[in-house]
Amino acid sequence: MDEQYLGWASNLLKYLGIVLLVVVFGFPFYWMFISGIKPSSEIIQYPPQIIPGTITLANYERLFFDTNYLIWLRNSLIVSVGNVVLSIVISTLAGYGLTRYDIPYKKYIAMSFIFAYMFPPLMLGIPYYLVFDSINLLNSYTGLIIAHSAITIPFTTWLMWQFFQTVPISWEESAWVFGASRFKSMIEIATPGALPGIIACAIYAFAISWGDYTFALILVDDPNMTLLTVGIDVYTQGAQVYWDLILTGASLLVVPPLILVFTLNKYILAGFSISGFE
Amino acid sequence: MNLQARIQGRVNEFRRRPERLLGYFYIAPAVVVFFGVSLFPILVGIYISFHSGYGVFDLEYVGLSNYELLASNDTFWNSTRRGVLYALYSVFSQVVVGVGIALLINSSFKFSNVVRSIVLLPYLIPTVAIAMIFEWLFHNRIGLVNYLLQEGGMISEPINFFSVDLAFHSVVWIGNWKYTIFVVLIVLARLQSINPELYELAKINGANAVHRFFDVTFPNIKGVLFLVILLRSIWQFNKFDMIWLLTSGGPFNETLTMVIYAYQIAFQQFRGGVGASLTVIMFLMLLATGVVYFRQFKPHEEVET
Repeated sequence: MDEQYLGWASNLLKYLGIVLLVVVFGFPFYWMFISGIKPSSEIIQYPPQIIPGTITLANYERLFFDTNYLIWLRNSLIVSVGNVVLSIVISTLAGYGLTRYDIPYKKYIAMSFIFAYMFPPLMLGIPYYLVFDSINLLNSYTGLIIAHSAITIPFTTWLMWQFFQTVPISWEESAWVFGASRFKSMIEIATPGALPGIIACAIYAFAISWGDYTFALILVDDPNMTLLTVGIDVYTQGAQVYWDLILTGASLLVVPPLILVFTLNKYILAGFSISGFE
Repeated sequence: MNLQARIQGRVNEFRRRPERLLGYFYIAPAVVVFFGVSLFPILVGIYISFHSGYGVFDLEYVGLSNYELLASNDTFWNSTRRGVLYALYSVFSQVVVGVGIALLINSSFKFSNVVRSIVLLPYLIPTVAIAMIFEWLFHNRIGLVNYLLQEGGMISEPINFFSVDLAFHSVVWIGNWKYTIFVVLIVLARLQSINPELYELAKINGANAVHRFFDVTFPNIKGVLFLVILLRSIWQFNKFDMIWLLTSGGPFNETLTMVIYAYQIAFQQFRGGVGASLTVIMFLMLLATGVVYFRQFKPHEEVET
């Protein structure tokens, strides 16, 4: 009897905890999206309306056509895609090389990649600024992609190294028997086998570039080269704070990660569990 | 026989040689990138820290004077205390809350995938968006949180969450909303690899929930926790964007951590040399802590390589 009561109570506690979790992590998103589709006058109205009276897309229209949003979006997309492609190519090659070849000190090479996590971002940011300034890479896509790949590649290389270890070499050996070259077997057999890893790396690289604020702030001051993150922040700094633009801008910033999480969450979790933490 | 073995050996060696060259070819781009865009800039940073001026080609050697300047500066020592406190406070709270959440969502229930996705989400959301959402929610005049607290009768006057008294806590906990997820994900992965029979066995032997946690769960997640604490401490100590977006170090330097101060020196006072010295000091502090930590807890033995 007591047992049963305890079980019932702990179940109730568990569900209360889960409801709390969903509210704490879910409600802020709801509030942001909802506030973004209220008329601007209602946004700053007090007391706030939890369920909006009128729904409008006027704020989004303003964001798209009265601000530089589309330029920032283009810049963010170019830099993100650049970082994803560069990071995947380099870390897939390196991951394969580290797994399949007998390279001296390879354990230390891999460990030194992880060591890169200890560098304070500004320890990179200050020298980047000075060096890029003298070789004209400030305000350029190349400069931003270099900075982003510097923080992406150590982790994605580590991840690909772990993922290739899960692809049996026997698959490749049978391809060699039929005359495939080493390079061909890597491209056609090993890489598809490590595809979940490549997807995890792509998500990681995209999240780094899409969310980066620090380097975008330091390495860019030309309004035409500004990334979304820095662009939206500008509206908080004037004498008037444009909450309508801030909230719609932030909402759109959230959409790509939202889609990634709900469609590809098994790859994200696979990336986490295989990265060596398990 | 001996001759044959030697020939075979030569043949194998010959076969391996181009193989090994190909191996170098595969890892070369990553190594070049690592040296070119990580290690080289770090060395440039250390070099700059002994110079004054702004620009790579018009630096003037000043010896240790950038470091001496910092050592005699009260704001620097204050930022050191703030930075260390920020890292300790936020990592401690993230680990406690993160383990709690992981235990909660580890037990299976309906819609667990949806809940897991919602909980996973903040980690991939750009920090800028998170800072904006919470500035909006915690706004002292039109914020929803203040409204609900007043309606619920918990407070009579709206609270300014970014005041001198509260800003530091607000910055820590808004950051926790995002970064606790890292702890959850890694602890969760570990929890799911624990053999459920261990819990059954503990139950049969009369262990209650608290005992089961300390006898079964904790010994299993201990190793991974040491690693999580190390990584999160490094990242929290280095945290720039969240703090800068929320408070920029204010009010009255209440949230001025070392990174924020380094940014102000380098990019607002335009003293790159002094800013670089500050980041070098930060790196040395991390290195020293890392060495002690590795000696003490050996978290690298938890990483399968």
